[in-house]
Amino acid sequence: MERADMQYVKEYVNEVEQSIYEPTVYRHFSGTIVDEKKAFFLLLPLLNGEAWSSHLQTSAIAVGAVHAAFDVHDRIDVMDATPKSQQLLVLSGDHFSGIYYRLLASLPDFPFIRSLSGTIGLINETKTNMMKKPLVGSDQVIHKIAIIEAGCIIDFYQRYGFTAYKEIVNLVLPLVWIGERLSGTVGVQERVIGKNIHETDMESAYNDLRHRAELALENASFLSISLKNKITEMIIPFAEHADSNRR
Amino acid sequence: MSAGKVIVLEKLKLLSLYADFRKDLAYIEKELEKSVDSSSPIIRQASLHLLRAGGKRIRPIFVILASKFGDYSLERVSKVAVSLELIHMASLVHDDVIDNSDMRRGFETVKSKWNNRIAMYTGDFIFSKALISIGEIEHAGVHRLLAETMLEICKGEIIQIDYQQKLDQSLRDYLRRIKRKTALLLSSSCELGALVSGADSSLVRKMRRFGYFAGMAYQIVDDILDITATDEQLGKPAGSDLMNGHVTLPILYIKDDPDFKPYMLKSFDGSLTEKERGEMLSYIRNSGAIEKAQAISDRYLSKAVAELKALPDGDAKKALLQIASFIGKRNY
Repeated sequence: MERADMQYVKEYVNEVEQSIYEPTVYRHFSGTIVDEKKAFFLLLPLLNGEAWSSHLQTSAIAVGAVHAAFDVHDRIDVMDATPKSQQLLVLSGDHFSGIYYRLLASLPDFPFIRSLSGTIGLINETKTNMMKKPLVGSDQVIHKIAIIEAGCIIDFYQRYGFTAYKEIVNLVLPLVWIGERLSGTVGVQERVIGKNIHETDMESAYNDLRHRAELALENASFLSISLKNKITEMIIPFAEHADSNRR
Repeated sequence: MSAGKVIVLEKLKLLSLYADFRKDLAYIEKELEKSVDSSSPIIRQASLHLLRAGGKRIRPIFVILASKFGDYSLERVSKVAVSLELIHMASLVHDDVIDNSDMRRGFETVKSKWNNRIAMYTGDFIFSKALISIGEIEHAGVHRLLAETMLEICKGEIIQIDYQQKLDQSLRDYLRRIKRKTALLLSSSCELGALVSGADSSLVRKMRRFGYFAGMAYQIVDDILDITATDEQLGKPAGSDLMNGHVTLPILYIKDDPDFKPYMLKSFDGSLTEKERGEMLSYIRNSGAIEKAQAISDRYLSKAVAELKALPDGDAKKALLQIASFIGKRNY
């Protein structure tokens, strides 16, 4: 059965938001917390018709909570977090981390608690290193951004036997991340992590990733046509942008 | 006696209470250092810096002592103890971002030495290591308890932010806040120690209640020390709680005093001068508020001690009683 229906993604996003809901935080906070693109890739096996149990759904919501925690902590002002809204962002990220742990503890899925926590540690190390030491060369850019953007999803795929999907998410999510920065569509705080990357390395990484992503999609015989099209749509806007920049 | 000497003596006193369990604590200390090893030089440096700043290790010692009433295994105990201490450490790193603190335990904070974002990532890294450590214990009850504890602690912190500079708080509001802020993690330290050693349910319950009562007293004493101790003893400016907008128990008792109010308002808006800070602290010290707060702490400690009465005698019980007594009289 083909389930390439974005409705699944929207329902999942609602479920994550309900799971992490905290009234005081939401009173002071506006904006989206769950990234639909990451949600789409996390659910890719489900959308492609793979067997999906309630255990998997709970684990997927836990990963969504982790993504939300990362997202809000990436919005903390580097120098001044004294406004109440910033203080609550710090705590909301901690709260979301508590939710992911509670969800995995409820299953309980001990191996995933360990592996996901390991990945979270690695992502934080990578971000910290990137803030102080510039990445050199497009290969390093691709590798580090893939850890940050796709790490938790890859971990989820590995835990539940969806390894065939790894290559695509490892290429497309960093591609989207770099594309958004090249086209200037992210806020000041979100740009902190990539500020040390030289633009030529970004462009080179973008072109390399785009080429490899297109090839991987072409070879992904296990993936439905509609999903391939959907993923291609995610790449195209930035591809057009990159092309117009070159022109 | 100088403040430095007081701290050294207090530390020695605490170490003497831990003497019978020194080897186990040393093992846990090594495990703590190993657990925060990192490929990021900044994170490694920041984490070790925090570890070596020398906390009281009250959570690990509670885990050890509670485990002594069951089937004790240092390997299992250390996984829990390391996890709880790391959770505590991670929360301190994030608290310093929230409170914009430059100093903790006499050392520069992570956020001050680097920046807020690095403090966020360091805290999150330490937290992830806490879950890796406890993740080795495949006991559903342990994880459910720890997850609920973490969420409650966080909720407490969120409420604390919401209550900043709010003067219409009751004693009940304050007690509920410190329960989440401090008592729950100490209570869970005792409960988890008993749980992983397979102690019977009545003992697990007694340990939980002991930790809770001791934790309430611990936080009240902490709030008292913020006013009565010196900057040097605290490793940060005395009166920091009030200057960060936190209404603690001594402040609850004095907040309606018309002579005190101007100091409090200036603390809140950041216009309090150094001279006024000194005057304010002396005013509180001489108001009777400290004695009232101490009396509440003593009541909690009596309850904590009462929970231990029915427990089998031995080194663990003796140490818990001594630690309870230390909590009530500590100067750092």
